Amino acid sequence: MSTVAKSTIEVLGGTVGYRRQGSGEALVVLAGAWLTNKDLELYSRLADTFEVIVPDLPGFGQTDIPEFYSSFADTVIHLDTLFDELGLTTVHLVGHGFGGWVAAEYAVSHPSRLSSLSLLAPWGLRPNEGEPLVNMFRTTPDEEFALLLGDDVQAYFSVLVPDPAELMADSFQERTAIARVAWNPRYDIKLEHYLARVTAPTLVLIPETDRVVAPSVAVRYAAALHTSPVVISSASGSGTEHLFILQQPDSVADAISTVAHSGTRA
Amino acid sequence: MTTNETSMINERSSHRLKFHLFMSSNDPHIPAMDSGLKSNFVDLPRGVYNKAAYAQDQMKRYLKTMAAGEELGFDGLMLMEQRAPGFMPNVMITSAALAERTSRVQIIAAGPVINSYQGPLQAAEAIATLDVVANGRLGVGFPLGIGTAYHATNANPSEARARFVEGLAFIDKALAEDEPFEWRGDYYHYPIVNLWPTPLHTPERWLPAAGSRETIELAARGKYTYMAILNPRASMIRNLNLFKEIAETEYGYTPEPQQSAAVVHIYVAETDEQARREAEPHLAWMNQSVMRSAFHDFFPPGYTSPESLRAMLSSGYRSKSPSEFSFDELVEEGMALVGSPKTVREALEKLVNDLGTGQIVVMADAGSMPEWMSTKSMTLFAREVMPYFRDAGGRPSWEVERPVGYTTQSEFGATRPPYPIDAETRIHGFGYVNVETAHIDALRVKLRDE
Repeated sequence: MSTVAKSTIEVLGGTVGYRRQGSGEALVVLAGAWLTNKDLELYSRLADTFEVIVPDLPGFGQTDIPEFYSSFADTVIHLDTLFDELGLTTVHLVGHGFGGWVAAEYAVSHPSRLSSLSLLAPWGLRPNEGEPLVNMFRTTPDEEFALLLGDDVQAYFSVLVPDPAELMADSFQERTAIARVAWNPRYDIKLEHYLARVTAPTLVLIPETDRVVAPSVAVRYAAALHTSPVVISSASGSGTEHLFILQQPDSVADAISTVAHSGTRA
Repeated sequence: MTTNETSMINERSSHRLKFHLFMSSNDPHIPAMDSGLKSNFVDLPRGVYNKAAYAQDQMKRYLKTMAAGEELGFDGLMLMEQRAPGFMPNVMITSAALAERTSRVQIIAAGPVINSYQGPLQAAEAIATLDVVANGRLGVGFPLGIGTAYHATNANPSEARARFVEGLAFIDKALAEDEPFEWRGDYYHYPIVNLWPTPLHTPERWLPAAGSRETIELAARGKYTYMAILNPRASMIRNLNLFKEIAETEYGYTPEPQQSAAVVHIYVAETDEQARREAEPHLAWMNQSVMRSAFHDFFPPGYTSPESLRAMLSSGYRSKSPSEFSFDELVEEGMALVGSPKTVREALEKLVNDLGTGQIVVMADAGSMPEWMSTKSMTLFAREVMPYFRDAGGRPSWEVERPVGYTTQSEFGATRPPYPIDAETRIHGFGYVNVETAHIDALRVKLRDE
């Protein structure tokens, strides 16, 4: 079992919190809402063969967000500078949910820096007509957890919310960080056109049931990346939900590793 | 009223107050607090609760009862902007309508949510136009907008305050500058700002705030009239003291009483008991059905800084929800002044002693009162309470000091500044002529060749 090093680094005058574990090629995971700076089994599994780096995105956890910050262009520059500061030339990039959207935005801007790209239940594309686009800024925590995990909330609640007293404030902080770049619109109509720029091996991984992201989103991501969505099924038969990386860390780690190893630069 | 009670008006208060009428004219047929809905804001369906006939009824009642405030003798009529479950999402339009129904009383649009405009120029244009329409009677309040307004208008709440501050500065400059200028802001770049029409005066600027330190600081810095939104007495005192303290320590002046206003429910009837019978259900309705909303609606992301929110939550957000206030507590806390004229006079005297405000925004209908009820109360208020806080004669400020705009053609003729140039145009085949006289043969003189 690899040890986890939690640290901070200065990027463009602001603090970035991040965690690092394992050794091997650098694999950066951009976690979405509720997963900031959490000890996830997924990270341990990936750390068997990669150096797993999980930064807090701007405005999340310990990472500052400057006053002028207002779009994904800022996030992309931030990440690119962070990779420089961490001494990473190329990265295997993984993103989940909102983090998946961020990863996709980075990928289309800096495709040559990617060794592989894994998008897990990514947000970011406009759902097809008739499909819902959940308003995550107008949900209570209970509603949001139900959207994220269905009936499995209780099993993972303590992972998501280690300190219930901080629940509302933590949620507000994360929603604020998301709103800074994605209040309006809550999708990027250009992204789909640019995804063809990504030439590294790609993976689009989805749960059996996603109450947050409409089905067409992953299908269109995959099509634009010239691949097909891979569905992670439950091993115990209870189904997988938007936060399937909590429910099925082994199979998620396997899928990511397979794609990442195929993109390993000798 | 007993003769004895009426005679007390001759013993006037030492406080001199301005009174502004504030109504909501809501339709009370919206879900009660036990409906199971999280909120009556944002997504309450209009097709069920705001059918066209209801909307028409609300607007007619609103404009009629507000306009009546002039004859009652209020100093100002204050209008607000309120989206679902309110029916007045653009205060500049309703203010224009009210300006046309009145002639002397101040019209206070309180006010446009600047962030809901394409940019502050559009807000400034509306303000300038409205001041001209209102003959120089305009006052403007600048609410940041309650959290629900950001869900409702889709303005980004995570940059709301910074945009708001820039927008206020822009509007001040756009209203004041006579020459075109360039605005280079963080959020807005206008290569040319040239706001027409010229407003008749600089509208009095109000800044409503529930208690946010940032807004109170802004009011003190810009010398706005700080409008202390309804809160329990201790909070009101704390906020007004903070306003005074910031003005004195950071900006070197002591605000006059007129630079702050308290917003309060007022209801007057023949006796204390009757006043309570009439007002209590409506005050309860306002606090339960209108003031109730989900946390995420009142606090959309970034509406305040995450640090401020963390501090607020750890100190106990809203130690008590408005819906939990009993009638007695509302009265005790000075949030509702309800009773006979004598009782209301005394309660108002106490409130002003506590707060030191020189202006009172009178919430006159608790949102849901029928027209007859608020009219009865406000008539009693105007006759039996207002004079106690005014100079002998009981006249409103606009009877003492007239508005700035001219009111007759003779006044315009006597006072207009000389025009900067003659009005000229070219008639083809003739030459340049004076536009104003060229239709008369004898006066069609060629000023110069084509």
